[in-house]
Amino acid sequence: MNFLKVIFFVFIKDIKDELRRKENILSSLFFQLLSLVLIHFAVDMTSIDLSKEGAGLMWLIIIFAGTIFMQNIFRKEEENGVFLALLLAPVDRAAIYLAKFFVSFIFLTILEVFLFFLSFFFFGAAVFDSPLQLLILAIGVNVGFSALGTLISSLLINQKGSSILYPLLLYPLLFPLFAAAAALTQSTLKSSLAFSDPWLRLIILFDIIFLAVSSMLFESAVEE
Amino acid sequence: MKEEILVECSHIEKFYGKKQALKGVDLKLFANKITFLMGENGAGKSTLCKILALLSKESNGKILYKRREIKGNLRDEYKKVLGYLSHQTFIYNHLTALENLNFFANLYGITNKKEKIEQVMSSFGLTEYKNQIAGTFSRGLQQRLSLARTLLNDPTVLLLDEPFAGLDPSALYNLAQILSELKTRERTILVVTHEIDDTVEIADNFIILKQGRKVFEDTFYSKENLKNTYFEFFGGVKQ
Repeated sequence: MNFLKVIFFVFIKDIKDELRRKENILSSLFFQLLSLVLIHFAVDMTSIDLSKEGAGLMWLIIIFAGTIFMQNIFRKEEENGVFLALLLAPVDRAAIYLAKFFVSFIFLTILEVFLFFLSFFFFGAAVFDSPLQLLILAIGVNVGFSALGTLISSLLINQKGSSILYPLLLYPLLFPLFAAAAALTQSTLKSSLAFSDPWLRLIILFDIIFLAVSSMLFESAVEE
Repeated sequence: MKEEILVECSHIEKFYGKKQALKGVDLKLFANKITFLMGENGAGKSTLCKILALLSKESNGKILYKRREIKGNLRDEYKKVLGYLSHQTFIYNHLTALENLNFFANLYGITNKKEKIEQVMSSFGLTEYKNQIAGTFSRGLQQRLSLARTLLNDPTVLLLDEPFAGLDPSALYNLAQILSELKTRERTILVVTHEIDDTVEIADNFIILKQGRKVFEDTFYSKENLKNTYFEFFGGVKQ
């Protein structure tokens, strides 16, 4: 079976399933909205600056909202033991992983676009001053976040206490990615994004390592 | 006439940490025969079934398909002819019956997909439910959809892990009938169960596992004979 076709079939099926069950998407979006509303009331609107503390707040919301979605990315496969049926199919298991990765990636990107608009609406955040650079940065972060989040979610399929274990395993590993993202957001909004920037290089390296390693590890991670 | 061995596992051992779930089990599945694998809970039946389905990796030993060890390209070839059914239905709750079958048909690369799906749906009386969400189905209907999904790729080797668990008497009877019919259509079937009920009448061979070891293997004669043998190993009232 063609590798790309498998990715496509699993991806389409997952999107359809997610849109029907809605719970993952809605809970992430509502969390995001609620966080912004709370910040809006708790902090002086005029003092929030995306090129300063606002960058950290924005990525913090993305981490938590993304976690809500990604820790349930294999939930539909846990129901009725469907995951075993996927593993039984004569397909490359890395294709199943990559399809899930793309679903997470697309969702995170939508989540961020939604967040940027809301940040602009609530705080007048300067997200549209350098939209392309912010989008490139968001894509860079999403690749690493989705790669790692999807792999850890697969490791915890049918495990008791997975909702506790998931953030415990994920957050320490994500630290360099989001530290780089926050630092880079601040500099991106002040000056242009340059490849020579060590934070950007860190994000690219993180993406390459975790996407490649996760694709290879998935097969053995789901063996039992 | 010499019986053809389609799937064979030799000296399978399985460790979970220090605990040994399987202790050097040998098993042969003969072409077009139904073999019942029996034993108490924790005997290692499901572990062995999962190893045969390549869902779990054996710690030691090997699995052969048509006398060749399953590795490399043969792994995919074996998976293409393999069907696996358990008490879990393996169907997506939020997809319709048709979408479920369509998805798995795509994964198996079935060429005449439309005809094949229509055929299995009609065989299992699912045509009128094809556009309904599978999660809303009754247990019996879900089991029928699950069987349809399992038979979609026309598997020649069927591994059934506790397929009768949780079924009402009529669904149980129907499933036994379907299995009986499958045998006539040249399928090699392994049924894992710990219950001796009327369904055992369809067996050709039976194997008993006890604490990870194969303790008995013979041709099926009668239910009473099987019960007596079973109780010799696990205790109980002889018939």
